[in-house]
Amino acid sequence: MIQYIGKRLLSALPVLWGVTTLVFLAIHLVPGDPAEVILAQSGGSSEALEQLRARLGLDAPLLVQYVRFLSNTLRGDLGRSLFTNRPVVQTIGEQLPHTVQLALAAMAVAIVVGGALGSAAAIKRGSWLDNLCMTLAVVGVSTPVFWSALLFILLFTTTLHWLPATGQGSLRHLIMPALVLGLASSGTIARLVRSSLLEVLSQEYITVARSKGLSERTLLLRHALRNALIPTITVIGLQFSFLLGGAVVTETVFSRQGMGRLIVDAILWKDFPVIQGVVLLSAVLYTLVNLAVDISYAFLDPRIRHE
Amino acid sequence: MPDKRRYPIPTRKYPPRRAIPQLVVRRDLRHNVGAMAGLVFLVMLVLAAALAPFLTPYDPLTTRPANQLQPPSHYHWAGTDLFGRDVFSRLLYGARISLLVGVLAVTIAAIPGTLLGLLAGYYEGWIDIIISRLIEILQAFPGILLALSIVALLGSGLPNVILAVGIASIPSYTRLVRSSVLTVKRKLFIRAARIVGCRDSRILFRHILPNVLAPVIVLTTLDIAWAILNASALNFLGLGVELGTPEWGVMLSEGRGYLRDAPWVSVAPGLMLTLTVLAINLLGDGLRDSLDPRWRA
Amino acid sequence: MRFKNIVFSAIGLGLSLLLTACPAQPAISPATPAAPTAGGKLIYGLTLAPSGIDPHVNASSELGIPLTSVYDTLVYQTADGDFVPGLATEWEISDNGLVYTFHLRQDVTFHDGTPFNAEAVKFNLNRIADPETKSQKAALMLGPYDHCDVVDEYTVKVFFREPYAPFLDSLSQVYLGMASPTALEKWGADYQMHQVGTGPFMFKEYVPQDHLTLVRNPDYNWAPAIFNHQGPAYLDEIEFRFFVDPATRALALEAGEAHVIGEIPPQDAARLEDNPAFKIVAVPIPGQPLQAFLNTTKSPTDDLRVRQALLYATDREAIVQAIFREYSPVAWGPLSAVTWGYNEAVVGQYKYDPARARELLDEAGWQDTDGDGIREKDGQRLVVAAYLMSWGYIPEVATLLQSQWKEVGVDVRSQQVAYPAALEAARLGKHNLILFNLAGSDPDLLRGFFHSEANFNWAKVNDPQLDALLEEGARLRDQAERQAIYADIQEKIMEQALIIPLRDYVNLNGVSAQVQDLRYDAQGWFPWLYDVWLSRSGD
Repeated sequence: MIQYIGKRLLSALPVLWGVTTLVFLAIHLVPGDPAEVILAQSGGSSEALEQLRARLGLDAPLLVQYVRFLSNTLRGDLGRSLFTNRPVVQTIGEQLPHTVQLALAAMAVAIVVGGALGSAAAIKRGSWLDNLCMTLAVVGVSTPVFWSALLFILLFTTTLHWLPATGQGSLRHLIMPALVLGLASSGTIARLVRSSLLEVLSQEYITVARSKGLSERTLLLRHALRNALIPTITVIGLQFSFLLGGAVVTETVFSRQGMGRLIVDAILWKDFPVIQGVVLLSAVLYTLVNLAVDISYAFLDPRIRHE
Repeated sequence: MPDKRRYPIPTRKYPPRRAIPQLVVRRDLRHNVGAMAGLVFLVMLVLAAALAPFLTPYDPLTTRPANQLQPPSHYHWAGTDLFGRDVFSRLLYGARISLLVGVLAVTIAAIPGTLLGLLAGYYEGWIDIIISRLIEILQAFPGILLALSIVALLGSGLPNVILAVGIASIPSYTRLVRSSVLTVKRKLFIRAARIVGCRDSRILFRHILPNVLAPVIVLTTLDIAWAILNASALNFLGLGVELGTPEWGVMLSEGRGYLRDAPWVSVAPGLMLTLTVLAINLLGDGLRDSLDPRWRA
Repeated sequence: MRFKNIVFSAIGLGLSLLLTACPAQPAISPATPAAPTAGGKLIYGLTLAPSGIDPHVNASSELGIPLTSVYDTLVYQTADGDFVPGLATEWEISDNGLVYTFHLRQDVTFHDGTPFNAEAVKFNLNRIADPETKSQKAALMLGPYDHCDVVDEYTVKVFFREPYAPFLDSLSQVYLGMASPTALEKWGADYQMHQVGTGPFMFKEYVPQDHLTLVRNPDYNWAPAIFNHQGPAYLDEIEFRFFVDPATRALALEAGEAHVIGEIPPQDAARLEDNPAFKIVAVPIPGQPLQAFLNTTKSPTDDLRVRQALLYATDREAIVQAIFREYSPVAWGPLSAVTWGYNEAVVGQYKYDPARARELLDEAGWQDTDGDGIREKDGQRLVVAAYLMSWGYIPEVATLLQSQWKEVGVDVRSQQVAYPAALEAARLGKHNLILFNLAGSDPDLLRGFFHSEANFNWAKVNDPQLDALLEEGARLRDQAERQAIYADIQEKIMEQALIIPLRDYVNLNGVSAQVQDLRYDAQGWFPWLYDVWLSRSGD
């Protein structure tokens, strides 16, 4: 097993290198010069532009910038933002908790709502309840986050004045974004919970347990649900990617700070070091989540391990 | 999946051609209420998009500032926007864009994605390693982030949005096809084909592809929904279409500032978007159930 | 349709003239007694999270809103463009315009106890000019700065390589505010998180993208005469928060999340004004109006007649009325009406006249030969390539331009781009049209846009006469002479139809009725929070 993990970790390295190189190349090929952006706020001469470029290290040949960037990254130095002049690690460190908070809250919503819909549907398989739950799930999957966000604001802020539309800091600020993002992902989870629960319920040990006279309630909670959750949890792990993507839109609509906003702004403003840092982080996280999923599969299915 | 016992190898020289029979939509799709509702909606939407000029007297681009932010009425079924444009006709013309985006983006994703998956799964070895790493690199970006970066790289505009959304969903095809190929190629009839000396290309496209196509078709359908959603998210974020284009995501975003005085400007396109995506998802689910009964809900 | 347009034009014009004539601050007199009471915490909403907030280093206008209360400047500028004493009690300028001598107040200390003196001034100016500081704005505002000499403890001489008329204007802004040399040395590159000035409020805490807090400086006793009172400020504390999304700013204000939020969308401003709990403080911003730069080197806008036709085809009143409502005046020239040196002769030039536009296009050889509504010449369609950024109502304005120009047979092909891509496209001259505006109280800002070597020469103009005038404007000391030069420059720009001015920028600040005596400085952006107090009645 350790050997397997080691092998997987090793194979992640070229991916991380590929991602960083790709990003480095991509952002340097995008039209737009950060020095120009900085200068634009005040107006200035072409010599000022050249000076600024030199100061920011943007005048060096691409290869030199690349080598500089790689060696710094390996030493854990992601550089300073071109605009804020603050260390990228620090900036990410400030923004990440906000997105993690939102993602965790959204995930909680998704698991509770999705789990409830999915189990209800599986238990009452084929009934009107099943149909209702699965219809709600597909509606959830189909509703764009930016539209549900708008409807929530329209209802809870403009009409009822219950919740603030924007900002962060308190639980009240978190409710709407977490609901919007969580509901979007609860549909996927509901379907998954339903299908894995159905699969578990058809297993022989459940039939055995049932024949031994266990109550349906105990059966469901003690045996079925627990086993059905294992594949669900791995997929929830993969939902992380979805949630980070969803956070881009959610954070924009609700004017929340976080990684989503950080990356969108950085892309628009060509803040190279920040883009590189965020992408690197997202790649590392993705690789780790993927690794965790693979390992859990390997535990569940010995065939993969030996292949 | 094929049942081996039905194809006793020794009695046949070639494995049977099985592409078409498996793809025939089973009768029970017609009894799937959701899928049928989705299909009816989509047919109506396609008709409405095609016949838009005959269904509305208003040009979707003509501005009449004096007529701005009118509530829905007999004249303007979905009201007017900030520039006095008729929201209803913009919704109809917007359907053209969203449908086009969905179909094109998925084409861009499905063809190379499937090919890469076929190659990776069939040859394994270093080809698989390279393709899988490339796919992993692409996947290391969250979907919308990848699309966002591509738009930032190529510049805004509808073609680039379509390309970005398409590229972002290549990995799911490759992964799906690769894993199906890994299963299928171990089947007896493929081994048999190899033994009798079929060329790789023939085995790949005549024997393996038809056998992995069913899940790809399901994925394609569901992916159209995903593409439409993501493209409008990009447009919503202001990275997409040209000025004035009646794209639903853009319309939604344009109306945000007038939510209190004129909610119809943004609520209506959001509703259309949701209904369209819902219809495609329902149809896709129905297809999946009828193509592969194992997945049946 | 035509008729309605005319009616709206008349209304728009009337309102805009009215607004131009009005003072910056609407006279909303609260029913509460005018005796200021001390105490309380003000929450002030900013509209974008500044990338960095070191005024010597960063360029954003947003950073100046909080930091104007942290730093005193050597001089202050009145609404009329006169310079009055601040930390400098008086100053002399040498006849050749190269040496400025400042006599400083002797009773001033920084928040950290460091005494304010000539050495401090020298330290600050040298820091700004030092390339290591990577100053994005302050260094440019310092112009051809050479060096500083300390004459005695409270007298300092500033030397320039060549005469530089905008220097006092620069000195009056927070970007050249006086920071504590002790703190600058102590914190180095991280100074922005630990700022120390001499102003009425002290920097307490900055959590990027979240909030910035200032607290009252209890020892403040050197308020410039330009303010209403002396001694410490009234407010105990000011917290700045960020409300970056225009669509939800008014909601936040109504929900009581802030006392003041800038850049309220016009449609929300109208609603807030109807609510007695709020007022709108509309501040016209000096500098450039929102304008479309026309590229004079790329067909079809390389033809003067086409550029003029576009101006005549633009119904500015209709645009302003539809998007900015009654709050923004229509713009007629390269400077907004409240800018020092504004030339009234531009008013009414190129008034909306689609017939004249059609004539000019006909003359220029553009005819609609295939009947598709768009003109052609030599097989080329009359297409204008526009690069649009997403903020400041640029897409909205462009949408109306597009449909107005279509009426005279001009097609607009637009591309929505991020700021950096727009700048690059503009620099390479890929555009026919790009919309932009920059704020600033000295007309020298035109040099950055219309000088042939200017970085932001988006009209791609190359006119030696204009170059000479712009250079002279920066050099001359006599204000009357400068004014004449800038009047000339503005006329030249409009004669050549280098830009389409659209609307004067007006910052609509949504303000709780509790907030009293809120005024803005000559730049229009920066609030003077020293005099502000909160009435209890609004609670």
